[in-house]
Amino acid sequence: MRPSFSSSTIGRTILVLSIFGLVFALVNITGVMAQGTQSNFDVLFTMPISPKGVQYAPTGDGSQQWGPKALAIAPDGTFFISNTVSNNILHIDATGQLLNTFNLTGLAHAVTDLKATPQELIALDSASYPQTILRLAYNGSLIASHELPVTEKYLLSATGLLVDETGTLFLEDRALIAMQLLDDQGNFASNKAAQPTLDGKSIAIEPATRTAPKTSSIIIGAQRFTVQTAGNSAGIRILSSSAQKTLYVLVSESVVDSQGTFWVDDVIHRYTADGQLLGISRFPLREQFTYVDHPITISQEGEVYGLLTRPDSIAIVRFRFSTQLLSVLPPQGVSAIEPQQRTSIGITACHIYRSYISENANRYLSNARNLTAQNIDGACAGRGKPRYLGAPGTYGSVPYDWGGWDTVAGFNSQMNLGRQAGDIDVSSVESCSRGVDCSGYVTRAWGITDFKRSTCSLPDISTPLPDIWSLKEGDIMNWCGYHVTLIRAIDANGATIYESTMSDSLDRVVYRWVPWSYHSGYSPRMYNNLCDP
Amino acid sequence: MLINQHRLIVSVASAFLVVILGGCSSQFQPVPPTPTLTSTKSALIPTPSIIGVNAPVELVAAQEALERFLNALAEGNYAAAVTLYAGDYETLHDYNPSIARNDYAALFEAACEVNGYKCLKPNAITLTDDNYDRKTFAVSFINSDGSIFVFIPPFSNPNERRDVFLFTVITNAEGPKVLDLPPYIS
Repeated sequence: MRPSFSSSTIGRTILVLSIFGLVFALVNITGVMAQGTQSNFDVLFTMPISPKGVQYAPTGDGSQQWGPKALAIAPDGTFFISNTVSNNILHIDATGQLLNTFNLTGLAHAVTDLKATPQELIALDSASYPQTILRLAYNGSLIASHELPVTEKYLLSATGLLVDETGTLFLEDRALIAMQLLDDQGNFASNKAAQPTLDGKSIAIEPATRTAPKTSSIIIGAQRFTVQTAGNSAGIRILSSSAQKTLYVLVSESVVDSQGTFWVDDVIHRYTADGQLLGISRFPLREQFTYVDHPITISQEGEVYGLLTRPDSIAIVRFRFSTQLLSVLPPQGVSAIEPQQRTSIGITACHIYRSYISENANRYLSNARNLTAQNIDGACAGRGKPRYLGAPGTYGSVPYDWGGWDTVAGFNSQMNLGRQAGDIDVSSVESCSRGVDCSGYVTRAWGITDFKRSTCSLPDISTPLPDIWSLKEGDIMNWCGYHVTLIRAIDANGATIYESTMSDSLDRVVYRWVPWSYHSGYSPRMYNNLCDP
Repeated sequence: MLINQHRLIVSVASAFLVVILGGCSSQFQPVPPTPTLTSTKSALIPTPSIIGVNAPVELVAAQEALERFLNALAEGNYAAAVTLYAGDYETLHDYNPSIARNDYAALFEAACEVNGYKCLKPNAITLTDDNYDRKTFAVSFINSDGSIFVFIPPFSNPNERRDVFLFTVITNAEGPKVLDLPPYIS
């Protein structure tokens, strides 16, 4: 389980919904009077982790495992779970009985969002490149597959799907509605101007900004409604506009505590079509055993369900809504370091510019390398082959290699020598396998050549940052002993990152956008020897 | 994976073959009649110290060498660790190109303090395989807060979490030497 934090401040978080019409303004305090951890959901059923059901990887009861990635409820009240470890979709009835399993081998790499319409099941494969939409019949057969347009070379930025009240499918890119995907006949469309609707009115969201970091907006028709958070906003996303003329929005708030750790709190908001707040409910993000990309689904009747992950089971829950919530975020604890302070604590050397860090990181992404059968399947005791490697041929990027910190040129020359590409077996470090692990990749991107740094020694050469808006190109989100990612850019909803990762069976260096909740539990840090801090 | 392959445990009941270090004092225990080999996982759970009455001298020496090696790394006595190690330095050379190839103590220091190797005090050392001059031990480690160190695989990794780690000790002309480095974290 992700580490927990102590909560001690009473009344810290007051969620204020300020409703501004064009003619009037109404402030609706939906806030927080005390702290606590009372659950605000009812468990419908649980399912044990099992080989024929939902699975985690690795098996066993370890933390930081991965598992199911998305939950969807069908019009008939049954559920679909993207069981990504087994690369299948589970169809489950309302009591938790398994009805069917849709095998996605050969169709998808990692489905991270699902939407169930009366006609079909729609899946987003966010780990393929280009990313892909799958349309499946309810017997599991493939109706169609659509590659998504690439918005930026190498970038995996499609983050979700939305079906509005008319049944129109929209693509969410970096947590914002980006385009209509299917036309009236169910064919692939890419109407960027189209917007989802609620009671016939177009809806949109505007995340917080650097200058107004606690203020987001929801736009319904011609009206703009302001959502105010007590701490920094960590994003706002539309969850649904398809049920009961009601809008469901996920509002996230963040804080960096006294230990320099970044935490996110996710709260579901429910609005009428005229912007009236009907209630709020917390998604228990910090209690999740594994990170689920899209754990919330809304039925046609307007009930909100969630997929919670536990060490030995998953639970499907139904959320209860109220007008106020208890805060779960700790107090803000880290202050920004001023330039004069940097000098006083010995941060003086200029080693690398931020843009060069991204250049270094990009070299791994843009690598294209022919891998032979020897590189892919040659003998290398203790090695685990990266899951994206198949037949001999040309592969992009550089593979994940436990303990690896090769340069791109070093990796390619080692392939010429017949060494093996990547290693996802973390039992031991093998010299026969080559590539980079997460910290090896960051070490190289930072231009460090004298020592290979680990996630626990990167803090020795970096300083903590106080909030998401302090993060810039070349900074990191670090978790000692777990993982580190490299920031390319940030926005109010999340970060575009480089990382060498095994997440979603990617098993290589990737460039992708992730919401801030992905980094809950990490520490935002800046390299000490930047030339342009 | 590797650990599963080597989960042949000499039964704790067999004081002939099992050596467990669990504290600063060792006590002789009654000797059971017949040594047995099992493949259970539970036998890896640390237990109080048991030194077999008739444990072969080389077995005790190997175990003691491993214990001294791990303690030397944990205490920062890297020069002492060098004398007890006969494994490969290639990975450490690769990780630390600014350190002279023959400065083994400096390589160990970098391994423990920068590269990501967890150089912790051993909690329990259990023999898992005895093949003439090559012995394999399962070791658990103690964190600075007194808890048992648990290796948690990084996100999305197919390996299991674990709290015991295998070390091979060989005996050459200079005596028992350790071949493996402490557990690595990324």
